[in-house]
Amino acid sequence: MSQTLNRREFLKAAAAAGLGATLPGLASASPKLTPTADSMVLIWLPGGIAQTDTWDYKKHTPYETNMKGSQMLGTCPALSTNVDGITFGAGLENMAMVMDKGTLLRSLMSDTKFGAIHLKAQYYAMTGYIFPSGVRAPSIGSVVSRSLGRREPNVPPYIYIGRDIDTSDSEKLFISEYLGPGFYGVNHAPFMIPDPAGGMSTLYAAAGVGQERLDRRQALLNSVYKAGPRALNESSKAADYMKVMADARAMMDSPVKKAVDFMKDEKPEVIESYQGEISKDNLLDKGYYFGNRFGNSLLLARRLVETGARFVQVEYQYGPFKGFDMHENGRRRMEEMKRQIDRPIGTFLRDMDARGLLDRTVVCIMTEFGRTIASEPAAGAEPDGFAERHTGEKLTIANEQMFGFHGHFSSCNCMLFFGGGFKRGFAYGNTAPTHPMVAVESPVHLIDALATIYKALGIPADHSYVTEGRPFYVTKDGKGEAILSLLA
Amino acid sequence: MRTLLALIILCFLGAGAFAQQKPAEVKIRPIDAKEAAKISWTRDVQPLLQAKCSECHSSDERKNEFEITSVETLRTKGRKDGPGVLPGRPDESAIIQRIRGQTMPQMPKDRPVLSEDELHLLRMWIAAGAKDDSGGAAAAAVSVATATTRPAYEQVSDPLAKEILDPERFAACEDKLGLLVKWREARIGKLKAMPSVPKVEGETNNSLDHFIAAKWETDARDKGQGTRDKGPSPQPSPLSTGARGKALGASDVCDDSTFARRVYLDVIGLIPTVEQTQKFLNDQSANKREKLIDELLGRNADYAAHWTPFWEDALGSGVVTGGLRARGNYQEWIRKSFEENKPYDLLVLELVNPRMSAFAKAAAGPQAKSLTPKDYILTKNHAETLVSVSNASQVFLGTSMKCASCHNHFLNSEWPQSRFLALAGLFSERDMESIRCEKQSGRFIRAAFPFPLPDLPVTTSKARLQLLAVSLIDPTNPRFGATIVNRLWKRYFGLGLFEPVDDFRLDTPASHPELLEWLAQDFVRHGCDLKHTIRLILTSRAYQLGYDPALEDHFDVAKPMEPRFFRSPSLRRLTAEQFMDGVKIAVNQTLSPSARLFRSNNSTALSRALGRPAARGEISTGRPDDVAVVQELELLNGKEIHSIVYGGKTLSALAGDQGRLDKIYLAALNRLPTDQERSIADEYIRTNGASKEVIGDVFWALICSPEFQYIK
Repeated sequence: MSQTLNRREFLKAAAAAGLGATLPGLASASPKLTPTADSMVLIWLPGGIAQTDTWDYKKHTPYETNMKGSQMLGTCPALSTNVDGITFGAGLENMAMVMDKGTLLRSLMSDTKFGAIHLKAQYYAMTGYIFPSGVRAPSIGSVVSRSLGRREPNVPPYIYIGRDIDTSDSEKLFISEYLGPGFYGVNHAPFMIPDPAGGMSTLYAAAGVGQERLDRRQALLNSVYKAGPRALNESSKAADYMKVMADARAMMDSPVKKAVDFMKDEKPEVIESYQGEISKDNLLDKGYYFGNRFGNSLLLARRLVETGARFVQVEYQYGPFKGFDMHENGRRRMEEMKRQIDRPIGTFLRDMDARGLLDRTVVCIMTEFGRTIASEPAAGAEPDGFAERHTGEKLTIANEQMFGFHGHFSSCNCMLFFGGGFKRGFAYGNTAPTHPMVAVESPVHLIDALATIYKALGIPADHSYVTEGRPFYVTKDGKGEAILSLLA
Repeated sequence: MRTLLALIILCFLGAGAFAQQKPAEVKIRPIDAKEAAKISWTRDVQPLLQAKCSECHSSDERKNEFEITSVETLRTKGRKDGPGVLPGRPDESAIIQRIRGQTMPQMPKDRPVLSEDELHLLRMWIAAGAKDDSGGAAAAAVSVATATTRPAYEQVSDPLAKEILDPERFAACEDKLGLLVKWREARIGKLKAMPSVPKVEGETNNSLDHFIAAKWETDARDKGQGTRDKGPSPQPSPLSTGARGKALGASDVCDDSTFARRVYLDVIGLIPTVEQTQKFLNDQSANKREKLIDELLGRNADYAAHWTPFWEDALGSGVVTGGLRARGNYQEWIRKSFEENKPYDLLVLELVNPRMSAFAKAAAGPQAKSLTPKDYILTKNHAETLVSVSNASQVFLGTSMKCASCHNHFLNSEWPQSRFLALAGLFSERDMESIRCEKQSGRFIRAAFPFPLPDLPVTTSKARLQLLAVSLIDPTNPRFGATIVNRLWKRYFGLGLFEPVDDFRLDTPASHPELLEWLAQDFVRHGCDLKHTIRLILTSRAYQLGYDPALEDHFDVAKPMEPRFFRSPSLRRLTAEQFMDGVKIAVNQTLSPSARLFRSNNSTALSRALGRPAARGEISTGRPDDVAVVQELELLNGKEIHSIVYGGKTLSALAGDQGRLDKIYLAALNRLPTDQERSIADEYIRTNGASKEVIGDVFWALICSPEFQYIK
């Protein structure tokens, strides 16, 4: 949008483009895009994954007493993938065998340094805006579901799997906000499935209310409304409310219910193939274990895409100082986390591909930032930007607890894309071989990575919706530019 | 032949060097003084200059050291020219000479010349005296340029002003409340006269109705005018006042049941119980509505409970851990402040500048911490400061300045970035750097309050927050009182007198400008007593009109000039708090104060679906009234609502009660059922058996009906 566009012109343009309509308005100055994907699965692994021990492998430098930080480049052996030139860290054997189906972006940058603050980095990753942005920014899922709408009539467009719903924990409350619709409003909020085993509980009549009684009760509601005050029967707001009530009832017959029945429908060996390969007993931190939730979530995600979901997000639930947020014993913790996610993701991608679902579905794997060396085993509060420039020359790894990538690294990070028009068996960008491992070739800003995803889905990067009388764009200021090299 | 010549000239004009020597001609027309007097700076001239000249002559660019942002700056000289505008002398004004190419290069440089009409408009405005009708909006920037670098309290001579503006003297004052009240009184003396209350013929309860009815009358006259040409007027003289209201197209006053429910929800956020409803319905006194309003306004704790979530949202209250720097949790401070009905101006003062609190002493003791608002204005760095300032401006000045954080406001020429940064400089106690779209300029903007106030300096060398806080809440600050009374209006009618309520601007008029001004002044003159103005609104006849969808006003941001008449209130969705608390009262007939939803730290799928924010990282001054599938599914099948409704304490007793239908309707909807409604519910209960569950079904249907979900 040009800077000289005045308010009247803007409003005129906005009205002409049907801004604010719930249907795909796709208001944008850009030409119409031809989508290469109709749906998306976002695998969200918050905590800040150490890229050098996973997708952007450098070198195995085994632990030695009093080694220098600069000498610590990787805590695990190398693992060849099925793509020449792409090496992972060991422990990702399943994913290594599906790399030929996707694109690895190694040089993803952030526009700011988040220091110790995960929540700010996560907000940024999920919305593309730096908190506070002055506006309740919508999440990627809400952007996609609002811009493209439902893919099937009775399938919710944005489904979120693997996160607790009811909470009074202030950190979780903040997370709920940025995964949500922001100013888009509750119409674009995710349908939450906290645990796939429990399904989407609101699609089922509450305990003790049978289907027949439910319908009887709903018929009573309709009669009560019709017999009620004339003014409300003539009000379009009240009528809309009743329409949505009927729509909600229709949603109860949604094929999503069938998708949720995976335990009944799927063969035990299929369910098994989606599960992580570590049991609670073998974990260093037994308090951070969600059983089969992550694997089941991915299996359900596949079934939801088959059913017609537009956008499904699967999370390995974030816990501060847990999981990928490793601040001590990085080597061991990383091994454990890889065993929790590798087989589920590998199986999921293989399964999606085998069923032809990757043709029109983008699968994206994200975390909020990378990691680097840190001066303390539990570096929770390094000053902003400190770790970003650290070469590790002055750091001594005095004990094995300190062996691992415990520092937050906003400067660089990886992102993976499978299907939906992204290249297969392809890596983009390169990073420095020594600390700080910043992007040295083809750095990519998050805004442009998001624009690339949106382009695949047919959403222009300068698509906008109006809030407070002004346009708010799906990528920051509408300026995202798709990285064409990532697309086939 | 002449055409050919013109063509040749055109070719030359396009040819660059030569063309610069020859100005393109823009014809001038004779000026009619009467027409000229109608030209407005804000409406006509400013937008034109903004569109044509701001690329080079904004406050950021200032090519030729000349800027077009205000009438004041236009009157200054450019580096190479005389004064841009000489009032009364258009053709000697440099800006006209530049536009006509009498001085070269012709303006706008390398752009199409102005049209004849555009030039004429400018000349007319200058000829009529180049009047500034912006209310001094942009003048502040200029005053700064000439301001001294002395502290504000040295720039004033009035001893009271010195005491107020000097932090040390203020801190030393024993009776801060007394001082502030005295100061407010003195400042009220500077207000212009209140708008006169129009005379109207119809029935009115108080002055507000006069303003509202006056617009109905004008509208009826205008419409009558339109039809007279086509035939005789169809409107016979109205006899009764009720018919008179009807003749003016307004709805009738609502019935007692509707009123009771509406006013309970509006004042204390709860629906009345059966007993409370019946007590009101059976009251035979003529002034029973006023009595009820006063009774509810006197329920201080409940009144405060209903206000609290609104202000929690608006202030962004609540602490977020995880290392995020955040504002404080203001819940208890808000609740207590409204319970005590603190004067609104002093409440804002305490929040913005806690050192000026008039209540700090009273808040001493074990509760002191939760009763002192902290960290509302965060100014650690540039970005944080701008967020703090735009939040405070939005909430307390009803002025949306976010856009001006990074660049001149595209859509509102009233807010060039520099004017916003000048305001931010007062909040942050240091001049702000002009950082445009993330590029630093090294240029610092002198701090200044954007609305010049009579006998108060706009800037100061120190104690900036003191000056800011005093100016913000000043009775003469044109937006402070108007913003809050407009919020109250929206809260009780569904739409503001000005819309959008967070974006007051000069290029859009209020629906009832005199009423807004009258209400704002009346509010300030009554010591910024919120309950005074609320009472005025609720006792008005306009508030008590019945809901009629055909008469309901609507606001469309694309058509801000569409009139609003308030012939019927707008349908308003219950907030999550009103709904959840209301359901509990409906089925239990009681609700302990600690069980009200606003007290809960827990965020549930239901409360979020109903619009209660999980966290308040970004501020908001209104809950959305969206209806969505995810929300209705919670009502249909959610465990939380199910357990509240079917766990209702009154259900079992009602199951065995022959008079149950009246009671159920009174409990849920605060009215008796009609015969038809009675037979529908009766049949449902007879067919399915009068069990607790079946009574629960009837409650569920009523609670999920629009009549419960909306305030009508």
